[in-house]
Amino acid sequence: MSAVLQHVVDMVSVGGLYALMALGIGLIFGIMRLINFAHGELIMVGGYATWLVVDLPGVAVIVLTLAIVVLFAIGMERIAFRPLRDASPATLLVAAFAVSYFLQNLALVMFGGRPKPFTFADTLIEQVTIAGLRIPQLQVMSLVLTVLTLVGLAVILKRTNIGVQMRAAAQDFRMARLAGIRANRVIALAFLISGVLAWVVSVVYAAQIGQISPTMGLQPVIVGFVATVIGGLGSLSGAVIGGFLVGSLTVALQALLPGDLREFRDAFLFTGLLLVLLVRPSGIIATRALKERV
Amino acid sequence: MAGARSPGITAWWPALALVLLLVAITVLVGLASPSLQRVATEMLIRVVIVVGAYIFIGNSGVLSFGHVGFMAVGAYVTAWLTIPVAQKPFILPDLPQFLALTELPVFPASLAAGAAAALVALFFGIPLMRLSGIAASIGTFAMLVIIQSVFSHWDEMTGGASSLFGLPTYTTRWVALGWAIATIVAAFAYQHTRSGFRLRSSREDPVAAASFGVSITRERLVAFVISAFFVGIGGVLQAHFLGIVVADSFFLASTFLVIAMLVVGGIGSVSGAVIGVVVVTVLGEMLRRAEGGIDLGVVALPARPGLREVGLAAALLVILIFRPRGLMGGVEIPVPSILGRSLARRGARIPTSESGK
Amino acid sequence: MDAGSGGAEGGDSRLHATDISVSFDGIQALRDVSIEIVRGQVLGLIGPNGAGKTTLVNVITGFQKVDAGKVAVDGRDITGTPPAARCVAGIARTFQAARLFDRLSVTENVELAALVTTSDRRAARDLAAELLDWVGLGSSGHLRADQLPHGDKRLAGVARALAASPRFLLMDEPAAGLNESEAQDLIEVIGRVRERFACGVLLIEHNVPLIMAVSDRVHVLSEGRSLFEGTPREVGGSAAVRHAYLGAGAVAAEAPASGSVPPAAAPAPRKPLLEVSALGVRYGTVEAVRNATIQVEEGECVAVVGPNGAGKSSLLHAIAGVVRPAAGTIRLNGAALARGSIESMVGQGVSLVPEGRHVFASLTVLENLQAGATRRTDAAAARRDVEALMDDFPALRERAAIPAGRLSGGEQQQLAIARALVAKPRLLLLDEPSLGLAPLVIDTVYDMLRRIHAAGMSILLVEQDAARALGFARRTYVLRSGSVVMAGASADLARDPGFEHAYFGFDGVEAAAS
Repeated sequence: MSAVLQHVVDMVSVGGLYALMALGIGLIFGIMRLINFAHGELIMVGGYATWLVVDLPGVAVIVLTLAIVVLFAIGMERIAFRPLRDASPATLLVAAFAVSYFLQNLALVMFGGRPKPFTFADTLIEQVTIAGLRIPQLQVMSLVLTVLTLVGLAVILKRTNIGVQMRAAAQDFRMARLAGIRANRVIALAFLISGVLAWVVSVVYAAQIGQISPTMGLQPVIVGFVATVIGGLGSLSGAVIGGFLVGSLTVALQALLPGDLREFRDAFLFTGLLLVLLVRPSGIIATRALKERV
Repeated sequence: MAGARSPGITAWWPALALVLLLVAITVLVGLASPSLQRVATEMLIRVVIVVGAYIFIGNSGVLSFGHVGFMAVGAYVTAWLTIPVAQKPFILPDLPQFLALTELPVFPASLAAGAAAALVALFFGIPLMRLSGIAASIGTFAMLVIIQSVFSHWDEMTGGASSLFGLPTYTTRWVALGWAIATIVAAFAYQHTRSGFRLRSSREDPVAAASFGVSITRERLVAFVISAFFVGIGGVLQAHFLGIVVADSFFLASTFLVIAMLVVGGIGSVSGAVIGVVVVTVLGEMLRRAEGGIDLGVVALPARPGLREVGLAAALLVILIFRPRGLMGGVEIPVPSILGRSLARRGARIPTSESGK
Repeated sequence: MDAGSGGAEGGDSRLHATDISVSFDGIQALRDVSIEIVRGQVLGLIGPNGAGKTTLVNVITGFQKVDAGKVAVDGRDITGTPPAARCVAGIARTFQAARLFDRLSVTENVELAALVTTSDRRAARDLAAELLDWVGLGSSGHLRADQLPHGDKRLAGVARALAASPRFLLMDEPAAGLNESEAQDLIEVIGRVRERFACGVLLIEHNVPLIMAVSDRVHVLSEGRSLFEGTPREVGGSAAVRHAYLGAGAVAAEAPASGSVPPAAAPAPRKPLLEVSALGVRYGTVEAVRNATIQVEEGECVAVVGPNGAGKSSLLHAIAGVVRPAAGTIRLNGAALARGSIESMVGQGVSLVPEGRHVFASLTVLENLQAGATRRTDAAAARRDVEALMDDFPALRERAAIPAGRLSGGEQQQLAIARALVAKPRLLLLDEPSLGLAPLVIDTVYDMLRRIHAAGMSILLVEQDAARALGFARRTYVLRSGSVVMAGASADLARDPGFEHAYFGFDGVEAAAS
């Protein structure tokens, strides 16, 4: 029984993390029709930023690393994506790919290929006992952080003026501009928020894997990407649902697959993605993102 | 007015020009250092891969992120067929009997490997070619991940994450040149077929194409399979150049390189694909020298691996922003004016359309 | 020379579309529509914007699934077959937007279609050359398709469709964007097509003189239903048809329909708010608006009417800053409008309610209104205005927390108007507010507009429903083929027998059909 409960806790925490990753991608796609492959590199930037300032007091670390990630996020929009605002989705895809590759190798140049240890908040490895389950403090922290972020995002989107503008822009970009909503402002804010989301993921994820490397953003972005597509490109709630779904599926596959098939988890995941694409290309929450009319 | 003139010699001019260019490079590099000759061989292998990928991507307009998967198929199949029987038990002890005991001469093995890649394309292509736009690109990416995941964990057949070694290294620059020419010729020939023609119309306007009898799914599938064959051959050539096969080398870094070369040269033409390979290779070489550390006189840049990739990514972004159609702008190498005038005197029509007809 | 199997057979080959019903996005686009195209005859298909004409063509060519009904060629059922198969069955079409294969040569464009009936590339190329010659593009074959001027693209599209040796040729607004002489050439080509290729032609057009001159029979669609079918003369004489096009109450014969407030006697002229001079708007090679001069005074309500494709939307878009004018000036309150980003236009006092409403479907009604307030500098005043609007229009207040996508068409239109008002514009632009709405619902919308106008708002309104517009606006301009052909006080225009001539481009339907 407690094993099942343990799995449930895992599913929720992994799902939550994946939901954050998916949101980072889904938010940008909803407004700009751009799949930001470079989102994973924002996570990596967060990791290296932490490594650089780890000797400073905790609050300073948090503030500084958050600022650096957000700066990179807004910078990538300004430098690489704004000039391509009206380009075709394929061009945007390649551009995102290029930015991702650029940042990965920049990290390689600056820090070398050998992974660095992630030591921030090392004490969280210890476990606490809640409701008869032994859970690492880290998992509790990440769960709390994830929930707070999701709630915070929902509040911003639903309760603030700028949130209304962002949702309007994601719904119908041109009409939003006709109503006076500033495209540049909304897009910059979307990237800022995605930067914050990436920072949260970087803290949690780096702590989980215990190290920082130039390619650490790859796994999260792939997961986030699959989750967004399955949940429905262009829908924010779809991204969250997709994240929880993929997270649960991953945990389930890990638990249920016979040992020798476990390594093929990615293959299973992407076969699932292919099936979704073929059967219901708009994802589970159908939006207009991928539809074309004669 | 009499019936329209057939394209004749002027349609094949770009192919001729590209072949001459590559032959010239191959011959000239023989006078240079062995390391430069290796670079030239690598470049020619890339021509096979990128032009092969172009056969699908350029004609269909669908950006495929999965073609490197076909390289993997080609590389592993040729490994299974050409690693000497005597060595197989040490490298792949769990290989099935019929493979463990097989050793084919390299040419039939390469054809078999190309065919295997084509079969994989057929398998994935039947469902995938129905998708369009972003969905199609995502689908091909999924294919890449699946292939890569399978190969890197299928320990009995592939050795998993470790490298397979022992392949005969027969890929000289002349072998690579031969296949490069074959691929270029195939690309032009395919474009002139009815299927290629129809596919290109579907790239321009899928609705109009469908209205005029084009079965878009079928034509895409044809191109996908042919394209996979040549990309598979590219994987074969690379495997027999390095002598080893590593699962990891057929994933994102290679995909990025292929896409970058296509985009820099221009997705719209064979010439673009070839020029893209040449330019990126040259750029890469210059940056590799810089990676070793350069002394600019005023300041010395220290040696840093990864600089080449940074430069490539930056170059790609610049091209995307300022010249999105690529260096060739989507057209083939134009007929030079002297040649053009003499041909015009003989009544040939100088092509202005991008297909070179 | 024969065009493949088109030949001189003719015969009594027919294409039937029977009891076609189609709905999508919650709209009933077609309801129980039946038409028959006979080989060797031209069937004109007319109807106001949104009537379902293009949907019907999409059904016949295989791009639109039907909820009910079937399509058959010579008795053979082809419903449900893919578009490529329809071409093989003998159906070819031209497109409103030409849809040539841009980077292929003109000859290749036509050659591709020829491959439907022959697999010999040489024969296909010969046929292509011949057809291009026949439409008058013989010397342009080697050019890239996107290098052709607009009218030539149309002709190339016709040649391409003919190359498929069709038994039935569907032409979707081939004359759109052409000037008078180009349209004349087109009429001639269509006439020759019918003689030489013996195919049945379905012709969708808004250019009524063209349809009347060329068609053997005319079928009229309105709001998804078949309204009438007959000879051009019969159609022209039908009051129902004129009603469908011109709106409630045939304009030239009667006074404005009851239920609308007769426009007051013209007050003393006030200072001009909007001055548009010699405006020109182009999209690529198409001239959508030519030399248009329009004026709206402070507090005035002005309408622009005209048939579809007249350039009304383009005119509004130029004023709203969505497109950059190719020529002419636009002044608001004497100052030239600064051409910045689209979103900056709202800040200058111009607010557009676009065609199709475009409410933010996943946002609530209240949030939609808040979105409209983005440009307001005084947040408290904006909130008060939102409240006031909801007080004035209780339908909005009742639905404040409901996602806008769930509102009815009329409610969405009201919301779109209210959203535009929240920005406190000096000039309100409306693009076809009655489109797709039932007459009673339109009444509600126009009531809202009347109240806004009475409160002092200046309005520039584009409408296809001419009677409605004439009953509402003080002054009206008639736009046709991009030019202003008539202007004056609405009351005068309504009584003027020349109005129909200006609107349709000829002197009464009967004259053109004779």
